[in-house]
Amino acid sequence: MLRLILGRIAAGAATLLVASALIFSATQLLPGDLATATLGRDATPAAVKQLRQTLGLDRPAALRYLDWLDGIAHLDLGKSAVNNVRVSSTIAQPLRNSALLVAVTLGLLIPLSLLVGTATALRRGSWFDVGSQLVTVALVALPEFVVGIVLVLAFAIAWPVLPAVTFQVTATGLVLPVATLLMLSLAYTARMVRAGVIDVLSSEYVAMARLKGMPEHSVIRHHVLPNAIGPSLHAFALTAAWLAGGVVIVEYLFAYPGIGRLLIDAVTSRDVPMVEAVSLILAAVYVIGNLLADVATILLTPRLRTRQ
Amino acid sequence: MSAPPPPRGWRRRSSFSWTARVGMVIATAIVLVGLVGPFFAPDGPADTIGAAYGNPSSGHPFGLDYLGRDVLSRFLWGGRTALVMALLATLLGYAIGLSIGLAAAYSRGIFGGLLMRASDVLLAFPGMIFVLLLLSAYGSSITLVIVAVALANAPRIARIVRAAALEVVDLAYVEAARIRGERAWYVTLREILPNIKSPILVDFGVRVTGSILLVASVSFLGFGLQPPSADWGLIVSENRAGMTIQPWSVVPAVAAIGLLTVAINLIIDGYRGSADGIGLAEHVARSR
Repeated sequence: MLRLILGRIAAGAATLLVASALIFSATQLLPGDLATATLGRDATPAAVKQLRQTLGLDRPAALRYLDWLDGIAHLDLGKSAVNNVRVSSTIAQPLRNSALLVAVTLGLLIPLSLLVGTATALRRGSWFDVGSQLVTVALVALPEFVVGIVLVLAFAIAWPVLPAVTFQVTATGLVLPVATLLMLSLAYTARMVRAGVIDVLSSEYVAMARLKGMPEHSVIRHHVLPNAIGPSLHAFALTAAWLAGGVVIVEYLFAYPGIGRLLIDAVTSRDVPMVEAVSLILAAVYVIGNLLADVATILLTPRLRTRQ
Repeated sequence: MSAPPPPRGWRRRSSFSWTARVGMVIATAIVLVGLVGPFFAPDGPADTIGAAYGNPSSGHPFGLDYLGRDVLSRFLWGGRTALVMALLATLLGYAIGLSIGLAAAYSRGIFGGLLMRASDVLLAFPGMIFVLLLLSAYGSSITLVIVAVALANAPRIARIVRAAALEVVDLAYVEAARIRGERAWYVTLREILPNIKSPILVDFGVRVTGSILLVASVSFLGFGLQPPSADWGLIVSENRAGMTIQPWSVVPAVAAIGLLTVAINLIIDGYRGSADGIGLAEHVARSR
């Protein structure tokens, strides 16, 4: 089992390395580099050449890639092309803000989806179950900005109780961004929990526990839930990975000062070093989320756990 | 005498549940609005009618936008480009993904493994991040959005195609064609492809939806169509600052994108082919 997990970690690291090469080459190899982008189309060739030398763009791309990687290894993400400030110092605070957003979302998502998933599974076929199934089917895959705008229309305009934008991180400012992310991910995770609970409910040990007269609530607490959480862990880890992309639009929509908003600003001002750094971080979150999903699956699948 | 009861499993013979039919009606209506809307728009997409954020009135049921243009007209003009862009991006994505997936399934071995590892790496990016990365490097243009969305789709298509093709690649009729000495392209295009048609068609529908949403999201972020063109994602983006003054300015565009997603989810969910229900809905969710 350990070998299997180590293998996944190695594969994840390799994926990330290739991803870094891809990020770098996507922005550097094709014609039109930072110097021409900064100076515009009318720049004289001499000025472009001058700027390329200052930025070090006249060196071969492979060497610049290695320099970039070497910097990352020393937690140095380079300098912004716009204001020449270190990327790592600009990124620190937004990164913390985004981590808070994701942490609050996941912290609410896990208990909520267990609750909704179990409740719907236990009342399977009732109007409550059918209704919530229909709602979750409908919600899955809605674009983040559609859900966000609807929430703003409802809770910041029609019934103005919450702020529509979050320039600073406050408790009330967090409500709508978290609610948007939560609605989108809950639709998926609650369905997975429901499927897991239904699966366990039909097992023989649950029938046995019921037959020996165990009260229903302890059957659920001691037999159903612990066994149903397993398969859902995978869904939670995948959601954590999805959040890496989901926060970008939600942060832009609510003007939340996080890493996603930083990315959009950097793309707008064509600040390539900043875009590269943020993309790499988001790709890392994505890869780690998927890795956790794989490891959770391995730990929870007896067949994989015992294979040597 | 009463009529004989319908045979068991009668309902199952229809491929689509009632929710799926409702979905089809809604989806068709929205796509129609998007495609023929411009013919019914009372004003041009860039015509200034009155003051910014004018309130709804009889001639302008959704009021005016941040530049004083008719919201309804801009909405009717704004669907076509995104729908066409999404379709082109999906077709291009399929051209790439289908060839990679078929090649990987047919050749297997090291080549097939390498192709799949390469697509794994592309999968390490959320689609949105990948598109943004390309846009930041080369500036935003419609062509680039189409190419970027296609490239974001391609590895996901390749996986589906490969998985479907691996199911049939060892079957007797494929083997027979190989033994007959048919060329690789003949075996893949004439023997394998026709037999994986149905999962691919379902996936194509999912991809188009995913692409519409991705294109709309890119427009919402301001990197798709540029003002003053009308586009649903852009309309939401440019009017959201004034939502407290004139909330109706974003309603039609948000409703159209939202309803289209819900409708397509209902179709996919109610399609008999997706036995586990969650499979394809999850598929859309993860394809972003």
